[in-house]
Order: sequence, then structure tokens, then C-alpha cells
Amino acid sequence: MACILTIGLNVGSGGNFPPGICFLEFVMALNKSKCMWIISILAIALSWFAGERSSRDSLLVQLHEMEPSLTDIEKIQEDIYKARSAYGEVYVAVEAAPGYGGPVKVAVVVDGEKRICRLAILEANETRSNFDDVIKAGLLDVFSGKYIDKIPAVHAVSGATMTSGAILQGIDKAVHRIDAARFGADYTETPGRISQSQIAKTAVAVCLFILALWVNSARYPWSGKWGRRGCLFLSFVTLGVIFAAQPSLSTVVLFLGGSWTSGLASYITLLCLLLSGFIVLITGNNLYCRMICPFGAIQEGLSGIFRPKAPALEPWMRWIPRLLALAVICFGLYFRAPGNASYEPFSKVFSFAGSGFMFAVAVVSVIASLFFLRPWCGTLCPMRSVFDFLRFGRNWFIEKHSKEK
Amino acid sequence: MKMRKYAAWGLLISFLCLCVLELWTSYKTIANAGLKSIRYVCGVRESGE
Repeated sequence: MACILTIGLNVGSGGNFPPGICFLEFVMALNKSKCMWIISILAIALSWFAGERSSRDSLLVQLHEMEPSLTDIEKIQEDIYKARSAYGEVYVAVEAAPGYGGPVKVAVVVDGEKRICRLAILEANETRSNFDDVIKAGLLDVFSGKYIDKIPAVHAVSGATMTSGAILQGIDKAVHRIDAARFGADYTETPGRISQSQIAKTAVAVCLFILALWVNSARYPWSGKWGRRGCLFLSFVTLGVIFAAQPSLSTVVLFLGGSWTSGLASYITLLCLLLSGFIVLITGNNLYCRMICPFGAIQEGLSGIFRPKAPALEPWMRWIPRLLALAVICFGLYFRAPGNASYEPFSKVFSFAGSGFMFAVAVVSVIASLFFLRPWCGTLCPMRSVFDFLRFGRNWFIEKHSKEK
Repeated sequence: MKMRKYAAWGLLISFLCLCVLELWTSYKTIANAGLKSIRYVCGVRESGE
């Protein structure tokens, strides 16, 4: 990074100065905030590369861990293997289906009598509580020991529909592919499609952002105050109550980690994050927190009862949520676990999913909203830190370019 | 005014404690599973039952 900066500066100054002096000049000219901004970028990049390196795991190691008796593993088709094991000759299929936090990878082992000997979830970046619910419901155990031509019809687990749906889809694909590869059954893979309800939800989310932009613009003819409240109310009803889809740090890690490129069951939170970030970069306004955040809407609505003020924190305390958010993003990227990289109570409030700690945060936020204006937003909300980070980078870029001109 | 300041401090510290506990639980989940380990396995015994 230092090299890149040095080269960049050298090019900018026409290459008249030795690289070391250029870099020192650059560092000396930075203030505390700019240093922190660069350190944050470096920390995120390092975590990303370290995570990439450690997650470059061999599938064979995972297959051995799943069934230690597997020997003579031979690839016969893409993601289908033939092997010897304690069950005799077996076929192993590894399939991935889009879940809430990226692809859910499932492995299925079938013996020569078409019986499912082993099932395993090799990779899942789902929200921890949802994943635990699916495992506790015994979703995989239902298939264990069953014959692949007599697979029982299993419904998705209520409250963890996307996670359980992805696992069921993965098992279904794996079983059918083995049936076709080993036993000659007909199987044509149908490409995954985004459901119409997801398309409708995405359209509603886009409309919300367009509405917020209009209300925030000079062309809006009525009271901006009531327009903003209207936006918050609509967002609370749609993004919050109906869709239960609010971008969080998990979404940031999901985006940076890149697992969304393999498909997601729902793109609404990612879309909301990207639109919010785009608006910050273009206009410099954090429109999301002010006009769209559904949890902010709840807090602001409750604060309307006694009309309290925002929590009065010292300026240095603003660094607490920023540093915590940075640490969690790095943690999530290193472990490639977006589902675990979150400490916001959003899911607990709108979909009743999450741990007891998050329930406590939600309860404290709701009660504190009577005495403080937006207590969660004003203290520890990481999304504000993320958008502040983007805005700082944008303003720095503009400042640098205007000086050069 | 001083009371409001202390209340805001209390709020921040209580949120911080709860969020750190949440993150610690998440970390334990990942650490127990192990980065390279698989998340869940089930299957029949070799005898066939």
C-alpha cells in the first residue's frame, strides 16, 4: 500500500522527489481522521486476503472429515465423486444453493443400494440463530438412511425459510445428480430463478429510495419535515414489518466478502445497502439513516411522545461505534462469516430472530427512545459509521481534486 | 444536564456490553466449528441402522 501511495504521489509530482520523502510528506500532511481512514482500508484489505488464504480449503479434506472411511476418491463429473468407504462403493455429490448469506454448500453420500449414508453442510454463512433453528429441527436427519427414489417431502423450517430452503434445494440437486450419474435416471437441472415476490419487494425498496430522494430535493413542494416522517413510516411498514429486510453489518461483510456473486435467496438488503452507499457517494447525504431506516423510524416514533433530545456524547465517543464496526467487519471477512458479523437488534425487532443479547438491546433501545431521540442511532449503530466512512472518503477525494484544479 | 450526560454514558456502556457478549457468542460458534470444519454432519451407522 505504501508503495502504491509512493508511486501515486511520485506520478502526481512529476517524479521529482525521492519516493521516501514523498511518502513522508504525505503521512505528515494527514490528520487523525485521514490516518484512521487509511488504516481502516488497510485493515479491511488485510482481513480479506487473510480470510481468502485460510478459506482456500481443499474439498477433499472436508469430505474426509465428513466420512473418515472414504478412500480412492475419484472425480467422475463436476462436483460428483466415486469412492470406497465402510459402506462399500459410494457416490458423493457436493451442491450449493443460494441462502440468505450466500451459497449453502451441502454434501450427500449415497451407497450402491441408493441409500443416503451421510449428509453434511460444508459451508453456510447464514444468520447463526436461523442456522441453529434448522439444525435443531432435524432437517438433515430426516433424509439420513432414506433411499433416493423414496425421498420424503420435507417443508422449510418456519422462521428460517431461506436457510432451510437452500439446504433442501442443495440436497435435492445432489441426490438427483447422483441418481442420474450412477443409476441412469433422467435429470435436467432447472436454473434458479428469483421469485416474483422478491422482484416486487425489490421494486418497493427502489421506490422508497426514489421517494426519499424526491422528498429531500428542492422540487418537493410540501413540508419536508412531514415528507421525511412519511418516508420513515412507509419504510417501517414495508422494509421493517412486511419484508424484515434491513441492511446491517452482515450485509456489508456479505458485499465485501463477495459470496453474493454465487447467488442469494434475497437481494433486498444488499440493494438497500448499495443504494444508500451510492447516494452518500454522489450527494454526500446519509439519506438512509435519516429517511429510510425502519429501526430509526420506531425509535423516532417513540421519541415523539416526550420529544427528548439525542444522547449527549463526547466527540471522542463517536470513535467507539466506528472502531467496533471496523473490528467486526475485519472479523467477518477473515472468517468469511457474514451471518455472525452483526450486533444490531434489527432482526430481533422485525423477525424475532436472534439471541437473548439482541433482545436485550432491542428492549433497552425501545425503552430509552422515550428519554432520548434515537438512542441506538446516537450511540452504537454501526451503519452510521459505515456511511460516515464513505462520506469522509468522498469529501477527501473532492477536496484533493479541487486543490489540484 | 449532568444527569443526561451520565444517562447517555450508561446507555452507551450497556449497549456496548450487550453487543460484545453477542459478538463473543458468535466468535465461539465459529471457533468451535473451526474455520475448515464442516458445519453439520449426520448419517447412518455402518451396520445400516
